[in-house]
Amino acid sequence: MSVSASGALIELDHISRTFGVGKQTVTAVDSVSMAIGPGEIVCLVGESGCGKTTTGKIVAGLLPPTSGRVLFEGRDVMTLRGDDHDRYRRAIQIVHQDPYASLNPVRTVYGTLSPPLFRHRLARSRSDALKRIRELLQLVDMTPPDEFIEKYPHQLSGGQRQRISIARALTVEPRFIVADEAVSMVDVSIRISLLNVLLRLRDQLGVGFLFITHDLALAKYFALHGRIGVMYLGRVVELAPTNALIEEPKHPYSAALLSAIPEADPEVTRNKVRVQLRSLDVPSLLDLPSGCTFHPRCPLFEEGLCEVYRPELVGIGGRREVSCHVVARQHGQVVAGGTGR
Amino acid sequence: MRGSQEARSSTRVTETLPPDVVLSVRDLSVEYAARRGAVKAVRQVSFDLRRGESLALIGESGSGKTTLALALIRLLTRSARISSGQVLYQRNGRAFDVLLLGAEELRRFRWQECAMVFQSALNALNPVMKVWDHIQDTSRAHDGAGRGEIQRRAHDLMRLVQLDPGRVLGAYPHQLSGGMRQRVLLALGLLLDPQVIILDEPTTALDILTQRAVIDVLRRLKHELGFSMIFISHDLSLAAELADRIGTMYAGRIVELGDVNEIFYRPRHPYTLGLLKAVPTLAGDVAGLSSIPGSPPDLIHMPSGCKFHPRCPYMVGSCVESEPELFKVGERHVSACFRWQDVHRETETARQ
Amino acid sequence: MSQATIAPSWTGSGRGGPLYELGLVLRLMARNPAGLAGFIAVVLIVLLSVVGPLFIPLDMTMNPAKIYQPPSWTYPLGTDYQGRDVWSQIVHGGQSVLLIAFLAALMSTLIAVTFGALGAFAGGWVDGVITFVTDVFLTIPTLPLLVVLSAFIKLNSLPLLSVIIGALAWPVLLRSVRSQVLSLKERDYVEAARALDLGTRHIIGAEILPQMLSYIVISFVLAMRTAIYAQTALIFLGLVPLSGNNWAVMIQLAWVRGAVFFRDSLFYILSPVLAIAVVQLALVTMTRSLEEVFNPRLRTGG
Repeated sequence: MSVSASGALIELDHISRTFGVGKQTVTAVDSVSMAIGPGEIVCLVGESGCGKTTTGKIVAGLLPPTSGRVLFEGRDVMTLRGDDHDRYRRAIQIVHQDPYASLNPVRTVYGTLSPPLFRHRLARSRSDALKRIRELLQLVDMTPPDEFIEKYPHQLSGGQRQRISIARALTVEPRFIVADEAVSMVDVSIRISLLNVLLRLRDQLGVGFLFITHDLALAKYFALHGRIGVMYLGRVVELAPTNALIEEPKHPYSAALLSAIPEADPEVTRNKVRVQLRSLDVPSLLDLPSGCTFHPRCPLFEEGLCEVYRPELVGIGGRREVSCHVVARQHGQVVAGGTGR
Repeated sequence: MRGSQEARSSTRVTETLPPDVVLSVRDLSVEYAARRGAVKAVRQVSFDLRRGESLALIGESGSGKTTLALALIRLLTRSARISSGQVLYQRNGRAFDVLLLGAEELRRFRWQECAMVFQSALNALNPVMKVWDHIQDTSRAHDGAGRGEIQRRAHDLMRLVQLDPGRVLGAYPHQLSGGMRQRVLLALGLLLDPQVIILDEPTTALDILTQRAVIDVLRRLKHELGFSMIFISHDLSLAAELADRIGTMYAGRIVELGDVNEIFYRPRHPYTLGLLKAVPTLAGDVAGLSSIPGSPPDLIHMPSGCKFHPRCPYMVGSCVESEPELFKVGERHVSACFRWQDVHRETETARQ
Repeated sequence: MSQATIAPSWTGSGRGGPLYELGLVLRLMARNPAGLAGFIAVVLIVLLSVVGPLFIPLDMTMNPAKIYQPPSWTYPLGTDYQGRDVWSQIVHGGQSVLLIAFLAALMSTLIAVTFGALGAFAGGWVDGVITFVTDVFLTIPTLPLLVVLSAFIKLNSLPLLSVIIGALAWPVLLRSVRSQVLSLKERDYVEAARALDLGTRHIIGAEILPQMLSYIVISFVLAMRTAIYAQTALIFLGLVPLSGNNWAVMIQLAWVRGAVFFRDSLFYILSPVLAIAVVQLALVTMTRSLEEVFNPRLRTGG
């Protein structure tokens, strides 16, 4: 199972999410378990279709899981009522990917940031709200704040809109923010400054993050002192502290990803050794391979084991978890039989 | 077989290009008409492309890179106007200006001499046509090859881009993954054996492993078929993989142009340097990373002098007064900055 | 970003009083000259119909000697089959037409927006019921139904007519509202509003409907146009025994009196026809300017 859950802010306990597509079911997230502590940064990386966005929405409480439990401060969120439930809802917020879709185009910055303040009685008058909004804009480096309060989204650049999105998430004083590819659609030259805003929020306000991205280099920067979770076809295949994962990936899929990434350094990238996979085909979510879903492509494939038994995420020391029979065995862990498919 | 269209004598250029230069762009400028004024999307861009060379045009939003690429094969929308410049193309010792070609000659030029490969979005291919139909259409439109020949060529191309012909030729675009579609577009571009291929963001929106496959295919193809390549992207790492030369673009101009190692290890323009510092790498240190403050200029009302000066840490008085031209700063390396030596000095000391 | 921002109150900034807003609206509408002309025409016609009757009394004197007089200074549009002034009848006839149209459009727009948004947002069986009822209404042929209805109910009162017309016009608009809300519901900023726990009422009222404001207002104006056609057709066909002053009633009376067959009576029958045509044209043309008013991107020239 997962790392010790005591003191965890959010915990996912065997979360699954399926969708019906006509008569067939797609399992977007398959039995994901993870514990995130307060103020912790966890990155979820993976290719498209791996379920990272769906997992993010489940963590943010926007999508219910079809099975499994989401725990907030140790309690199942489905059992929360009244004030406890409100506290949970406010505690976890989301920042979206597309700066052109994340803000309501017919509302000004004031019109976007004031409703949550009024709704949750964090401001009682217009001047109250303006004061708080100015503070929030300063927090996200939009200075001077008064210049932006009456602006519409289309008058702002992509980076500025993302900052407003972040400010909006901050209005309710959250403890955790799910950032879904929050910098992917922003110019390269300002991504770092946006990430720095988020990091500052962590340092100054203790806000934790679930940062979803397909860019492992960004993940390394953002989660330098946090953890990275690699997802494949709805399952977490590896979860480890950032440096450990980057230096020495244990799961063959993580290794393949890391070796495949082109780097902005010709000497490095032209001489990088690539992990070869057995097949380039990504299986469809409607027809998943048996046992370990990675087995048709895996260089460590062992017949009789990998296509029969499904591996679980197990700890292999050093706060690292891997979901692979072969690697687990190397570290003295036996994935006892597992549940066959 | 494939006929090559005789250039009309009126478009033939009197000066000769060096024999290994395939494409020479000179002082190209493109403007769009917008409600608020004229958008100067591309401003006096000049560069040479040699045979077998791959040039990466790197820029962010508003840099003009896409407009430039479309202008090279005259695929701009009607609201755009090429206000000045020449696009000189050379084949078999004869050079002509693409911008002066007539409609029929232009049609032959496109695809036979110079092909464009667009991003692999779903609407890059006709959704109601199978891949084979696309190939047949393109083939028939440009030369009179027979069905058997087209089939043979199609199979060869599929294998070249590492796709299974049996599976892909009979498929519709929506049945293929993004990476497969990109490779189909690549194959279509190669169909008539062009000398120059222009690729627009060939790996954006693709997954890591698929990206890797496309990059490897491109590299192999370039090696095997020997075509020249221009690819436009915002992704520096793509340039690091594939480019022989890199041009960084800002506010419609090329601000630095040089060999790949020169640009990455000895940049001499503050914008290039800023870009390099803004892109995190797996291998590199996180300490030196920083963003470029500010945002790209309004292309209708641009700042005076050097368009990058409001965001430039090296800015001085002369930067506001006049726009620097491209100074020679090294072997086949030019930079549009008055203070390029200071930039050079900083990178040298940083590497110590 | 080089122009001052203009922010009407419904966007949450609340700067500037009603006069400022009015000036703003007019300035925006002026961007489309045809639209502004239409708007002004509508305003003039409304003024004429509301205020006119107070100044121009209805000519009730029946004078057989003055039947079907051509236009003159005393009778700007000539006289009718009973020697009465046509112009005064036109002035008085607009109120009824516009009122019926307004009430009918109001009713159908309200039904369509309320239930369309509700169904799209609630989903489940609520949506199922609403969609089913809408589909049933969509398949009812309106004119035959009205013919049948008129046999049972005396459709001679203004409110009743408005209700009947309104009740049959909402299905198409509802479907459109519903599909727009369905798509708007999935927008990122709506999801963010859910995460911020802003409540269904806020989401529908402040995030979704304002996006559709231009569509709803334009639909309202066009519904008025449809209602005017509907009442004209019904009255003309004699299905609605409406009495009193009403342009459509004038047309019907003129027709019945055979006014089309005499050259002298042409003005009598053409006047109400043209009056209706002008109103319709003005309404439709006005919608061109409405887009400018509701689209913030156009508003600030960004």
